[in-house]
Amino acid sequence: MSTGIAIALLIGTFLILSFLHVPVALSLAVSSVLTGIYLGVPLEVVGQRMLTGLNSTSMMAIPLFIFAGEIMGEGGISERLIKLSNLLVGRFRGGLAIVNVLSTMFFGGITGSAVADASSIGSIMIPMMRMRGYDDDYAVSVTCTGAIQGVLLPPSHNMILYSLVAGGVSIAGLFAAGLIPGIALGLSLMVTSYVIAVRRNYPRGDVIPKNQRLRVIAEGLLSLSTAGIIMLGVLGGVFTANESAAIAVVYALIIVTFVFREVGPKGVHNILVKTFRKLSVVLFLISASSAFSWFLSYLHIPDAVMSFITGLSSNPHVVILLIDLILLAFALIMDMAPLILVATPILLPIAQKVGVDPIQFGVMMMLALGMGLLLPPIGAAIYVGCSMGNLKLEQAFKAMLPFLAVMFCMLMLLSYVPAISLTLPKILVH
Amino acid sequence: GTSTGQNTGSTGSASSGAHLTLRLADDQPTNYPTVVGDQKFADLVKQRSNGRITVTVYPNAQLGDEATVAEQVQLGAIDFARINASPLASFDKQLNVLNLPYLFNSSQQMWNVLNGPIGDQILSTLTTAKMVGLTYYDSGARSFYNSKHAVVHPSDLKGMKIRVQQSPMYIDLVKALGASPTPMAYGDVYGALQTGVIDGAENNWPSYYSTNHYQVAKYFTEDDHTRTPEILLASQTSWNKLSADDQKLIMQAAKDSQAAERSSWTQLENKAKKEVTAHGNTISQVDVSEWQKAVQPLYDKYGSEFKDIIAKIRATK
Amino acid sequence: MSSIKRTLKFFVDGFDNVVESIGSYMMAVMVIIVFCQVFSRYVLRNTPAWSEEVALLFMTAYGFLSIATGIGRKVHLSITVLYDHFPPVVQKVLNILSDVLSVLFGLFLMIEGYKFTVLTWSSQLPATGLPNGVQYMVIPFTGLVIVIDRLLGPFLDEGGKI
Ligand code: NA
Ligand code: NA
Repeated sequence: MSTGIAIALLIGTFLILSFLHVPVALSLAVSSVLTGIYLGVPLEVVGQRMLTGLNSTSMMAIPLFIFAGEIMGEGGISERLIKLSNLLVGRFRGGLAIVNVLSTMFFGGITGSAVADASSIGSIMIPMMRMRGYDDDYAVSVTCTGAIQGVLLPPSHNMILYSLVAGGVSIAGLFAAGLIPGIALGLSLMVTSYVIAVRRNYPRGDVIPKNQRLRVIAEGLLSLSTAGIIMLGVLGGVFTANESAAIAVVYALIIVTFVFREVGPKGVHNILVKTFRKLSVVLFLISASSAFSWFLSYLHIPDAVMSFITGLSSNPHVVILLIDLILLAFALIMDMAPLILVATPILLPIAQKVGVDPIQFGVMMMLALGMGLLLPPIGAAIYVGCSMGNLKLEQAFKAMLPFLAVMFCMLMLLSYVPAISLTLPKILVH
Repeated sequence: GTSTGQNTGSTGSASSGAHLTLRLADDQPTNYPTVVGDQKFADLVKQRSNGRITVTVYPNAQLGDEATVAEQVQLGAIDFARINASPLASFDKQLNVLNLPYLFNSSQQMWNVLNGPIGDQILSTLTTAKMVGLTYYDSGARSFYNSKHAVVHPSDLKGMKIRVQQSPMYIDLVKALGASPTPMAYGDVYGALQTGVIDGAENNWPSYYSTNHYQVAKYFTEDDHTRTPEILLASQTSWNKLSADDQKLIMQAAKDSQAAERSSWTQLENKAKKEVTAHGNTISQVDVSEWQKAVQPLYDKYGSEFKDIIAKIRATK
Repeated sequence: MSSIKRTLKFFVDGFDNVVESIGSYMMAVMVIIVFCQVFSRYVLRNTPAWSEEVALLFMTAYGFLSIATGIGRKVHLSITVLYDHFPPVVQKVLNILSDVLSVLFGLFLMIEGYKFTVLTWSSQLPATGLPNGVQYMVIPFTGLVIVIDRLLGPFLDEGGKI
């Protein structure tokens, strides 16, 4: 019985099975079981780790935030955010594109799921843009890249996930750290889309009639206030992450049922069932990778990777670049949640060793993996965009290149200028 | 390498028999006193077995938090663990006696009890939970602190909202002292103290300092209400696979590692006290008998099963 | 489709829907518990000791039931890079591989989950004092749901994939 064979068995089975179209989460679980059998470890551990992977207080915030996002998606909040954005930035050239980025920023600012964001804003904005003469590839790329802001902007359930695997990095700190990069990303995407719009001679947006403006502002702010509650609650230490998520759920439910009157009792039932189905994917990934990473630790794999990478170079700048490239490489083929779960215990200690703060690393990771959602072959956001815009993967990818370039520059800035992510946590959180 | 508890059927002499690799889990970071103790234990085992038995320490909760690691020890998935007696009491009710408030009068009395026959008796009950107790480690004493005013008598706590762990006994303790208990996750306490959601909390000196709670709750009352020790233990499954001589060697190494852990703890505690004092915090001393009287109802509720042990503890100098 | 098959399908679908509904409303209960916890802390100035532990019990049960029905409905994320380029025969073999692994995994959860529930039944959850095994009970049940769905599923499908 050798550690080398056990490591090969764990990693090898996982990779082979996943590339043979076995669900990624099931591959994680099966490779853990096989490794357990080989090592003679009592196999109950696999079930135990799977369950304890879901068994923590901050973990509760993840399904609750996704639930809140579903309620808002079904309850007409997207339309209201788009109207508000139109009122604010619609008058510029390429107005609808900028409205799109701002709406996805608002929506992503409330929920934090890039895919929900892309599909809920995109399903309204892409047809609207097409009608006004925008090209499909442009409409899709603006929607999808805009949706990545939601991962950086608080609240973000991916950040909570990171905080959990990173051993309890402050959620409030992470939320505060995501603000500046998220908004900066949004602004640079708006500028990029403006430049492209001018070159392609796209029209201005709609003018909202004066008599509707008050209503648009009121309903828009009401929709946005969910984000306000969460931010104030978590940053002020008044509520914990899961408490603010539960409050956000209740608040969103009240708005969409009683104020906007878009959802009835039957609708609430449907949202509950839909959320349950949607969560299945992410919860299986979380629980299976919790078993998988138990074996990673048991076999000391994080330590081995650490000595390998630090053996390549002792220059901190080079090590940080290597970490970014490793993240992006994995993000090509893997989805966000499993990568956070598997890569954090391995890469965070290396990053910390070269002086990167865990909060800064979290923000870097969010952006790199968020970019991964746009990178083929496996990219949830680009898939959603292609299906909404009837585009081929390569067409969509080509249109996204300028935006991806902007995001890469942003990633480099985040990696080498800690102040971008660490200033706000220092001011807002102890 | 070899796997968990792979035996050997070794003949007994320290240097003969197949090599063994055993695993020890701890939820604290490297350099924390308990991990210093774990490492000392591992070193002693390696040295006394002439390199035949290796104990690998997994710090930082790499294999899980204390409660789930305890379950893994029951299974035999991990060979050793260092776990606080408080979460361990869920696995062995006898340990609840060590959680009772104001049980010991002093640190010295506690060590006389734990390293004597009473301590051995408590360790031996762990077999009902498929564990073998090896030795005790220090985790100091927990005390109250708050952001309002100095607290010397229980009545000074009246009406204050005090954060406690989600444990019925701690909730009753705070109620018995006239304050209002607020169970809350550990990570949320700083923010809650800062915003006034709670008025106080309770913990040992090193945690009071390292969590920065001392910056937002300036009044520390050294009431030392609980001194729940840490326990170094083995999985019974793994233990039964060891030869009698190896068991003896490991047991002795565990007991001998206690000194290193305790001295590391004392250093850490002194450093915390020094920093907090330098920060200008108010530290109050109390007359313990007054506090013991206030919590008498808890002894009726939680201590009735342990009357004999409590009497023996009180009789120990 | 034979009438036996039809009756069986009716029961399997019904079973799935019941599990799904129970799971969905566990989320609602979780929201209510957490919401009441906040209310109780700020308005009644008293936080119950049990609320977090009970909410977590619902969370884990909810999560496992969603995993189980998700495996039945084949919603879980797969990597399609290679798969999409394989001929249909190979794809069919790989689908069977996933089915077989799912059923084996379901059996695994049933057996090991049962053993673990029994082992942990003698220790207690700290706040409620419930047996520790209560939280692990859902593991063997999840295994059962997976086995029922994935073993009978292909057999009951209209096309009769088997
Ligand atoms: Na967000
Ligand atoms: Na990708």
